[in-house]
Amino acid sequence: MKTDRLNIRNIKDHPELVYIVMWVAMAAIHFCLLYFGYEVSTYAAFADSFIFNFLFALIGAGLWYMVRYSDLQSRKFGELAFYHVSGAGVTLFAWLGLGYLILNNILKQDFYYHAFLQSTLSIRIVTGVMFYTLLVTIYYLVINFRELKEKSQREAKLTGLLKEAELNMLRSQIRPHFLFNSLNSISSLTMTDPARAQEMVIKLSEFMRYSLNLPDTMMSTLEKELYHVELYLDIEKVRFGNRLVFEKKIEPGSEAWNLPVMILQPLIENSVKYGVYESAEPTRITFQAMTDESVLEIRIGNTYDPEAKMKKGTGTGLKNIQARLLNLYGTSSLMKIKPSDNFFEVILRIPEYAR
Amino acid sequence: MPDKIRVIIIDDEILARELVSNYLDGIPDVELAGECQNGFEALKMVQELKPDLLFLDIQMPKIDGFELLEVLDPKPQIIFTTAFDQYAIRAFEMNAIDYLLKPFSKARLEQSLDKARKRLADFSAKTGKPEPLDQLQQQIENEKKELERIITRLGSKITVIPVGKIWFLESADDYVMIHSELGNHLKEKTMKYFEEHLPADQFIRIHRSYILNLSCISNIELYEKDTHLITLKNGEKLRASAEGYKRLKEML
Repeated sequence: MKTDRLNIRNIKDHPELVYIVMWVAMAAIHFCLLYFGYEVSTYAAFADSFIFNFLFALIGAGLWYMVRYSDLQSRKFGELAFYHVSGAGVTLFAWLGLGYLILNNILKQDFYYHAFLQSTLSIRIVTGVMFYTLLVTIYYLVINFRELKEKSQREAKLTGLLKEAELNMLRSQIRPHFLFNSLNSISSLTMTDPARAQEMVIKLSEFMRYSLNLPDTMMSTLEKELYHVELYLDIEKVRFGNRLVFEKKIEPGSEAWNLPVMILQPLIENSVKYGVYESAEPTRITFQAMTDESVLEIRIGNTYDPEAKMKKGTGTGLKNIQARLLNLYGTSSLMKIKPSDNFFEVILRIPEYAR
Repeated sequence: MPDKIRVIIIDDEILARELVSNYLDGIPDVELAGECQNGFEALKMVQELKPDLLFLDIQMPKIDGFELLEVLDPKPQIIFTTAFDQYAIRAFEMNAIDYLLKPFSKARLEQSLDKARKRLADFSAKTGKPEPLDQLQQQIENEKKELERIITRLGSKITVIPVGKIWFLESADDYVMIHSELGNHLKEKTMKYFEEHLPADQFIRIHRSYILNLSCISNIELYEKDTHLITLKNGEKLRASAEGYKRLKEML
């Protein structure tokens, strides 16, 4: 059992071996057919089967690249049909032209074979079209299968990262701290200002519901994410009053931009943690969003007290965001950190998301 | 029955302070002497008003509740109020009266006030005045945590010295003189304490009387047999003993 599985895996790792074995088998069948069926001489049967199969194997390998770089999804049916009819034409012309040229030359003396070669042209054309169709179909299947597998692997990884982000946030110091202190504020407000207490309970519930239920989708919009960020900041503002100043500047038209879920929240929480929690003076948290044609730029910054101890976080929050951006967009240059003496800024550049 | 229990509330969140003051309102033998929102204010207020009891939050900006306690003199009785439960053991080791986990009920607060009344009465029966939290200093020293900053006090002024800004420490009888970018400050601690608690990859004991920040060294030269003279970047010169020099060489 074990060796079987090992073999299968090896074959998957070496598609070129499968391809070669397949053509050797074709050549063997070809030889038998000529030798026993048409009684062609051993030498001629060998030369014929070798030359024609070898040539098609070569051309077929080239076809792989042609198919791979012709994007199936992005072409219209008519275009694709034209593409492959001409592909088949060129293939047949090259295959038969070269094959006939070589065989006519090396088997000049064998008149029986010569006649045989001329009389089987039509059969060879049909076979060539069949081979072409078969190979291209197999190629498309392989490509599709690989893409599917890759996509599901990528999605699984992203789900994992998102869950990790969630857990990080729940486990991190800030969540329990935030939750219990907010509840304490509510407890206090119930005595002095019940209406505000109620408002805060509702906001806290809405915020917790959002962050406890892992969203089903990877992507959200700036507008939706910002809504929850502001819920969170509203609650913190009740706790800290004028120690927290939030300034946002959203360029009109960027609200609908797609961006990954739960990517802004950890950054804002960091701003509160290292800015507001550590400073006795008012902390300014800034949020800016602007777009050009292809990129949404988000800047999240906070002032901080340079004298306060800069607790070194574990950095897992930022690393997770980096990893998720890398997975979704394929580049690690989308997040930049700009620390200065009393202002800390993170700049995100979110490209358009192609589904 | 002694006088009223005089209380100060220290918390950086206004609603948290309001909650405690609301709970205390109407309790006949408790007098709210003041409220403050950070350690700096708290030190001044405690020195001025000499309260019997503090409601003290732990997580506060710049200096936390434990650090404030370290420099308070005299030390009143303490009831900690915090959203975290992981400090409870440390708080009780410091002989705190109680540890209130936010959010807490009025009944829970009254329970801890009962404990406070009992302890304050015990002390006044014995000595006439509350016993300071003597174990405090000892407990802090026993902590194995690496220091990030040192809190010093002169009169009612607190200075927070990040360890990175320290040049060197010098022993001074029962105190340690901390030489840093922020000036010279005395701290009632032992050299041994600092040797154990400053980051070991950055600070080194070069002499019975000196602990040096490695990044401040500018030059080392032989002074006399077994003694080296170390010049600091600020121009000061310190002597290193033979043993201290050996340790230093291992680090460099």
